[in-house]
Amino acid sequence: MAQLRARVIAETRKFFDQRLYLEVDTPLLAPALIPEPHIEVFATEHRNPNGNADAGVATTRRGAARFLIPSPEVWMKELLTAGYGNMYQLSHCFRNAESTGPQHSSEFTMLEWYTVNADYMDSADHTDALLEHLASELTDHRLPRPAQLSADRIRACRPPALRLSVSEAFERYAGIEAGAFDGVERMREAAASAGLSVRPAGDESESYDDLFQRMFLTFVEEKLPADRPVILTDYPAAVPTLAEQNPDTPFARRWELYLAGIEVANCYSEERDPDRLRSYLQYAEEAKLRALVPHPAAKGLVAFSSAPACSGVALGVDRLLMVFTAAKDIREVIFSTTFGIFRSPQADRGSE
Amino acid sequence: MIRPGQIAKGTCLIWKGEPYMVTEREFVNPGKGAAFVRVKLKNLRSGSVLRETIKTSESVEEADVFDRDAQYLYADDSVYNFMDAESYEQFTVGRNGLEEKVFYMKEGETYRIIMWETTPIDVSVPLKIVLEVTEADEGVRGDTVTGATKPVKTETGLEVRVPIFIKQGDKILVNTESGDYVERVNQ
Repeated sequence: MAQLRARVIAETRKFFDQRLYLEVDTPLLAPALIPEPHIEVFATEHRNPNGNADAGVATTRRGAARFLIPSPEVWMKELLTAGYGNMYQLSHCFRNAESTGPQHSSEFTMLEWYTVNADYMDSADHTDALLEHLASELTDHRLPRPAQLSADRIRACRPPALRLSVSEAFERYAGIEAGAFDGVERMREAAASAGLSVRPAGDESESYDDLFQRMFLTFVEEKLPADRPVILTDYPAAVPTLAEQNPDTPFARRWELYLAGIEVANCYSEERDPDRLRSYLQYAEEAKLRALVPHPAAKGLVAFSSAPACSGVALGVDRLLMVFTAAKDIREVIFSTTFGIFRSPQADRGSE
Repeated sequence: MIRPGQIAKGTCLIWKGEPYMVTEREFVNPGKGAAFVRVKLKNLRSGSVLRETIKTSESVEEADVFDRDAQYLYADDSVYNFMDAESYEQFTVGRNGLEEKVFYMKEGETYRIIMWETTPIDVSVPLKIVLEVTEADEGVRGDTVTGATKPVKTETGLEVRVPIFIKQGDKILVNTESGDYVERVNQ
């Protein structure tokens, strides 16, 4: 597994280096983060022996607050604003307080890349090209074939990905018509008629966002084809993200990549409108007041309005390895002494 | 009430006023949305199956279940007959919903029965049990690709792939979760 992991990472670098993307290597610790209401972070502090906290940085009782990045976005957007152009990064990322499960690890490896003067559908093309590159390089018969590689899965990762909008997927796999996306009331009616338990009409305590996620997770996600890549596009804009809205539609310019039924990557045409950036920050900061681990917001995000138009993709490298090897648990593909290095699936069968 | 984060396979819930048992559970953290637990629920009365996705920050009513020890007596067409280990009261458990567990129930053995109010709803089988091999072909040349195994039938009707040295009449230890052969038992 260690060799396969190294090869996937090396081939990923080769793919982006050949296309003249700049590899960046930004810090894992940050004094402030782009707030994401549904992601909890790890907090620590920098202790200065002279007792002086860093200027302009939140302080804890003992020192200057630092946070482990949940994604390198906060730094890469600064570099994009500064004009560095196309760039990629392979970075460890940290997410706190996620329910443990076979597809989650609190520390994981993310591939994040940004392409300037490009939109989310251009990034979908690049993703197809990356999958093609990895699939053909890993199965190159002139090289030793990694034992763990699953031939079926490599076939299932061959592009082109099936491109399908979220509303098409709802219609195709759950028989839910596009009208369901016209506001919280319609979404709730659709959820109720599909058999989900919902609050009575007039009770607005369940958001459009939550209703949409429950519908998607219950009726659509598991039905997505597993024998070919799927790029699911145009999520409802009512799910607050930093993706641009598709003008005159209720949908945002973003997609998620599913390989063998596992969500592996997501992509946005990055929002640059200063007012929308500010209102996202305001919404996310408010939501973060209820977070288990609060953190200061990276206000510099608003300066991203002067960055060139761009599209960004974040891809979970460990999940990609899970897909390539048909691993059932992310711990089978991660170096870790806690779990036993590359834990075998039999090791603790039945502990779930 | 319990937090959805505590829901496990086998947890019993009151959902929309009906008792359900969780038969499948998966945590989902979409990152761009709240955290959810995706479950498959089996109605404890009708056996009908329901799929739901519950936000982990909400809370759910837990069904008040308890267990009792009972001896498994025999099977009828569609029910399994048990006798309470203390009161000697006899009762039945429907075949519906026991699925592959019936392969791990041996007549005369005592099992834990999960009860909801007065209704027996599930039988709990140990993680590993000993079964006698009742049908095994002698001298089958093993399938060398899969490491020399052959299929045998056990006293409960369960088919297991075992190493070729296992003979009819041998006792073998079987994992009841995976249905896999563990080892031969000398007794």
